Amino acid sequence: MAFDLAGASKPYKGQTLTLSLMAGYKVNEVIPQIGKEFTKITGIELKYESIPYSETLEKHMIALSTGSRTYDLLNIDNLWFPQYVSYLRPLDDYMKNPKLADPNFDVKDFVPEVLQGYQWEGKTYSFPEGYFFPVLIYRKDLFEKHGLTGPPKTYQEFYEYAKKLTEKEGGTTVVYGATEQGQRTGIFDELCTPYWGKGGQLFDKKLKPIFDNQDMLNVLTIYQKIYTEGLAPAGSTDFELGEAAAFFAQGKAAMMWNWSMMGADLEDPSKSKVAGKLGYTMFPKDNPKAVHYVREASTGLCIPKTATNKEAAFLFVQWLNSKGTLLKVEAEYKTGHPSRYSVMRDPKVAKLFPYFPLLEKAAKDNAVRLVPKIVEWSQVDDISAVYFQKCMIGKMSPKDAIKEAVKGVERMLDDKGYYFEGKEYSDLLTGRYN
Amino acid sequence: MDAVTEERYLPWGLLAPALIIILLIGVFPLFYNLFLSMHFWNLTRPELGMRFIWFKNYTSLFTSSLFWEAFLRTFVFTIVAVGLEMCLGFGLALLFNRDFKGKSIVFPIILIPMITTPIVVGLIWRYMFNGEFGFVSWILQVVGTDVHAVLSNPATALPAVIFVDVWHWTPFVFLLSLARLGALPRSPYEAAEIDGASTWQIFKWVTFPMMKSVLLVALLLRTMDAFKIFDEIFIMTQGGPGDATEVLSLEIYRQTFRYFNMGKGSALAIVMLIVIIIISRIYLKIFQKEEAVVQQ
Repeated sequence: MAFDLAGASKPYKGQTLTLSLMAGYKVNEVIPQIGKEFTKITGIELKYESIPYSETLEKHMIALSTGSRTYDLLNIDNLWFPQYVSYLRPLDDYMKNPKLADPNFDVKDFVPEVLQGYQWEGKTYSFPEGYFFPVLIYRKDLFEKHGLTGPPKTYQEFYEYAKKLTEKEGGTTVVYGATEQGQRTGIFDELCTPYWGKGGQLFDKKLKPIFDNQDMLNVLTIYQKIYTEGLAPAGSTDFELGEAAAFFAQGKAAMMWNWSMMGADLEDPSKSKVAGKLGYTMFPKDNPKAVHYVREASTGLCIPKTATNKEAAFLFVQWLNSKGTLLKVEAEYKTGHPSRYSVMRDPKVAKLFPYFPLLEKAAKDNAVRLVPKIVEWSQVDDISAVYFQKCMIGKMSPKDAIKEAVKGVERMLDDKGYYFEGKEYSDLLTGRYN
Repeated sequence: MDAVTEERYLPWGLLAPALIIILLIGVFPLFYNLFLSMHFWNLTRPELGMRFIWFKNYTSLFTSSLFWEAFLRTFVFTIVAVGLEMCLGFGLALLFNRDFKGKSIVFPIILIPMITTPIVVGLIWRYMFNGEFGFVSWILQVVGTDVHAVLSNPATALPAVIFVDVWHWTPFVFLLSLARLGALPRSPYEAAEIDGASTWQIFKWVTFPMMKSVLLVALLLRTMDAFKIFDEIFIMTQGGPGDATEVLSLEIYRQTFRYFNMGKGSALAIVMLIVIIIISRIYLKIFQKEEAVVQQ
């Protein structure tokens, strides 16, 4: 039996939901457009506020900690979810409430790791609208030109490929072998992929950082060489996902570690000079036995405990993440990051995006993982990034950079009291997957 | 109410609205900040609440090498940037104090940076310095220097942000100096000329002493402002590459709005405030000494 949204939403007709959306995500540009349909069916009005990604966390935290009732729905990156969780309302009660829950919602249709990104102590706080992870995007035409028959299989090979693919004309580099995302908010993520691909772990069971080892040393040494040998553009220290993709879209680089959703714009000829020339594959990993080695990311709408119109907010989240709506989002607006299997398998949608089979394969192979689910993850990332950036530009040796990063992370976690009782933490918290 | 009582209370009554506003927007936040600096309070761990921890935030700061590096960097930034701004601003003012062709066109152009908001300044120069598409990088490439991604190199990133601050704020010193130069009395100059003083002697013994007070005001204002620089650096480098441009205000931001350690962020803000007060006191002492000399 089809769910009667109009009937379920009757008690909430005339309410206005205020949504805080992160700018830069395609799906968030679509929500205000597609949301009109929800208003038409339910009579629930939607008001939007768009915040730049880099300012989202601080704005939300200030609003939540001061008990502000401004927002009914907050758009949250799953990377930050643990920092928000104390302030959020779980959805489980609503999902069990027959007056509100859509019986055809089909939670199992979501990629499990993506859903897990918004779960805490057995409770679900959101349904993610997006699913993406870092992949290797490469120029098939340049590979052919240089006689390379397939994508690199190890990180060392990635470096050797970058060397071969770098093209110079009269001393000036016209095509770089690779891009790097050296910005403070990007570098640690990029380094984690090959590190996890070696089977490396960031923490031990007691949450002590343990990445001061040969695996990380190898990864950082190669990463540094790619930059200092001029195989990646000099401005890479200022690159994050968007800058790297813009550079790549101009045809100036042959390989790129970047988030899968970037493929949506790279395949659009009006925005990219390399549309139709690209190959997508899993990022090379050194240890064939390493399973969870790419970080899954997503965005989802969560309801703060202080929200004024919680039930109406739940109805909107449920409607937005229903199979029908998400399919429409992909088919009509081409966001390129489906979180439901049924959407990525839909033949009409799948033919628009050459990398969709990769999304499904990664999910089925359990290759995707969440970052350690600790509140302090952003700090771990930031502390390490300072030293890794110094190393990237050759101002610190890989060995010293790793040593300092580990020391900094351990000191910070110690300050937060994680080692007081010497207890062991769950794998979800320590990010120990393999 | 008798006349004596009225005389005693009326001034306070009239002052009350202003005093209340000052208390609310000036004094209360300061004391609240002091209160916070002695607490552990992390916004992402509301379950732990606010805990009084005496001076632990301060000791943690003073034992951190990152803090001392940021502290030193802030000093270097302030001294170099303000020093250049003072020399260039005053020099330009001397130049503009005489007539030359095209003065009316150049004058407003020089003032443009000063009226541009810091965020826009940061964005303009971030793109100008961009290693791949930036104008400055293109020039450096043409000239054939080794480094062209200026903001990506720790050796050039701090000089680059100093350069931007100098570009932004030299007009301020220039404007203050020019206004004062235009208002200087003519008689000391006439006396000096009659005595046969050279141009350099006139500058050294007449112009400069009379300009000292305004230059000290400019120096004080610029030092206070440069010491708490945030916007331009945040937009241009976010403190990077590595921590090459990480100054104290960025560290405050990071502790408060990235790590949500409200206590530690507040402790840093208090330290910064104390440093600014000390610097201001030193300047004011020099200023008062100069005033006393002038009055004698």
